[in-house]
Amino acid sequence: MKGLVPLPVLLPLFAVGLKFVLGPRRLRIQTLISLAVLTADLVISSILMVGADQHGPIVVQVGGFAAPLGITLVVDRFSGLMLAISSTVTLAVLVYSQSQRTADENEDEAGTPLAVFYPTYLVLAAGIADSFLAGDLFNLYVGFEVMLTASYVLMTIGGSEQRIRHGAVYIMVGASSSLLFVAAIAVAYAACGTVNLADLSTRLATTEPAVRLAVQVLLLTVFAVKAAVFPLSAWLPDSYPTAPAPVTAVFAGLLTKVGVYSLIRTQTLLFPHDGRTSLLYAVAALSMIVGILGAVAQADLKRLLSFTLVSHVGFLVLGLALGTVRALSGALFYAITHITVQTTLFLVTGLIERREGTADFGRLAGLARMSPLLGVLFFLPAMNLAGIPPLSGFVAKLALLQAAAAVGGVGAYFLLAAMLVTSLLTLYAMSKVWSRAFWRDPGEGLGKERERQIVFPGVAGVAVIRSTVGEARGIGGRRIATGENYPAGMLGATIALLLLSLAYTVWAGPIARYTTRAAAELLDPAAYVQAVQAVVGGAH
Amino acid sequence: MTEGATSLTLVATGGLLVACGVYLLLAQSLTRLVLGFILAGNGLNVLILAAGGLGPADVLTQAMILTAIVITLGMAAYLLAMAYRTWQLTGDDLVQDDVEDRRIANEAHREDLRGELRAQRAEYRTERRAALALARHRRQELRDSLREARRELRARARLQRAIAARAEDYEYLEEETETDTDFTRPPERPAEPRTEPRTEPRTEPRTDKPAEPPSDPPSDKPADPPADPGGRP
Repeated sequence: MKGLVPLPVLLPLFAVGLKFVLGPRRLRIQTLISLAVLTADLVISSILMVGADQHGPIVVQVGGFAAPLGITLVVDRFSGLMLAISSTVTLAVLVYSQSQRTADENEDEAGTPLAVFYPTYLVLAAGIADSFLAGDLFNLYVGFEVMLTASYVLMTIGGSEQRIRHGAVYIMVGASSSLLFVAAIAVAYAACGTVNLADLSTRLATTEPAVRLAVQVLLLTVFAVKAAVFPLSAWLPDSYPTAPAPVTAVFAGLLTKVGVYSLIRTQTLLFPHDGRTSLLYAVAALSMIVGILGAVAQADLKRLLSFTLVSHVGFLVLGLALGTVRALSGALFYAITHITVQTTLFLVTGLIERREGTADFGRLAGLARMSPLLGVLFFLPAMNLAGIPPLSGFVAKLALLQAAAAVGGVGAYFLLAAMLVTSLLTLYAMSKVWSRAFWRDPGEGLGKERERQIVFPGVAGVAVIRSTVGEARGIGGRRIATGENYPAGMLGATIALLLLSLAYTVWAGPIARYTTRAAAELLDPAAYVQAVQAVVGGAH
Repeated sequence: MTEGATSLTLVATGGLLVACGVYLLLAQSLTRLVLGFILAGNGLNVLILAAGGLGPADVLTQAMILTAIVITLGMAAYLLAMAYRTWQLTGDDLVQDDVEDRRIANEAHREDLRGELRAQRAEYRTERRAALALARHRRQELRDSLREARRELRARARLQRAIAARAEDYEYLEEETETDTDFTRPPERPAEPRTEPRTEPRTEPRTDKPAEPPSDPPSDKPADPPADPGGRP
């Protein structure tokens, strides 16, 4: 079991090396390698998740180096769950993007950016896994950097003007928060002489409250930027929508959740008894409300979804703010639901773009009639996001609502109200998209397009050229090929994620029990510290 | 962490580097951003070194700094490549404004302009109102003076008619009294003889308007003035 722990990080990195050795030509082998590696990742993560659930935290000291120098990797229930869901999502998105690429290549010659895409994607997967596995602050930083650097490349892939412009903002925000992270590590190391999370947990308890507060605030700020929590979220809706659909899907699903994971991990482990509730209450409520109000104002589906992402990160912060087992359990449940649902929605948006050449629902119309499958694929995750009863989003939100009610007090009830308002407004935003893009009479949507239609009689009849204003660009930065038929892989990956989100409802009981156990483990840092120190050998 | 002591020089250097880096990070040009990022990154590395404390070399801090240097270098290379690409695409290396921000700024600008326009319109309206009032006043004045002139003209006409009537009366009287007519002095004729008879009949019809045209007769007949003042009282 212990030998498996580093593999989610190592396998993708080895695969990247192998890919570069093979060169860009052997596409079939390349595809097979990526698929095999990420499938293996999924299997390993699932084994680790179950193992961590049955035997407690699995701790590995990489390379057998002694305590202060060695790199500690830890899998507990929380990180096991996140690993499993992230490898599922990365695999699904990989299938989606590969299918999109092969479909695009039939109409377009292979471009160079694609030779970069898959290796970078695997590096991203490795970075995400490393962040979840990290048992010390510095390794967490390295994991973040691996993941973020890969995401910078994916964000600006193709190097079009628009992507460079939006990428510049994304990269500078990411780089600045990383600098802050280094500062936090420096302060923590100066105060405690260690960066190991378990050691930090014991030593921070005895340091001066002011120093502890400095470390806490620094870490909160860093991870709040990465998680796009409200006052630090402005970069997200600006940058995410410009990336290709699969990239946006995996970013939206996972990158912010890595930030949330680190937020929950560091706050519960390092500062178990320090006051943070009122700040987190305010931040969570503001994230939810401001984010969803931003979403309501949008006219582009991708931007709208990015704003709902900011808004729904608030639910996860809320779980942390309430700080009870119930609340954290609800937050974890909501985290996996939201990862799946948000990714599915972005993948569906990719399909819509593929069909119509735009994701601007002012111009989309009648999709429900023209493509009922697309309607189902959009409707279910959208309702799930809004928290409509039989779906898993409702179960998770209900758990959070119950937790807030159980905590009681003005702040908790205020959060409860904010949650309800946010869910309602999410429903409003989603039904707005639905009634415009899906339910409207197909003729209405074209509006501007119609004026652009050039109709000229040809020899054989009438040729109609419809130009789309939207700049829908595929993975390689070229305009994506639009068409009626969706490649099987794209459709399959989307449907698989949709089924997964439905499965959460069916198996809500076992999942809720698992998240409750994970939450209990999170709120009892002593067990984590004990498990790590048993392997690492205590503080040096 | 060794003795809990650390070099103040190291901390100050690190702080200064970070401060310069942050200042540069606030710029809009990507080249400056790269420089700022490198400076701040190195400043933080120095701070990590300081965090290790004085005394025997701390291996962990050096390992961490090395890793951080590699990461900073990689990021710097990437940022430079991006700055170059931006320069290729747009001819400069400025980070452009956020679309949403620009939209909001435009909206604000439009609102400002609208406000300005509203103020201008209000100003124009008051000006117009003042101008209209002035014009109305002028028109009233003109109308008044016109009425005055018309009244004057009417009065003059009345006077002329009266004079004409008087002249007829006089001729009639002259015919009746049958004075010897001297044909050598026709111009003086109305003046001299008119003086005496005119005094009596003129007072009678003039009872309604006695003081009205004091200067009229002279404009009509240059010969009158010597006669008039004498005859009127």
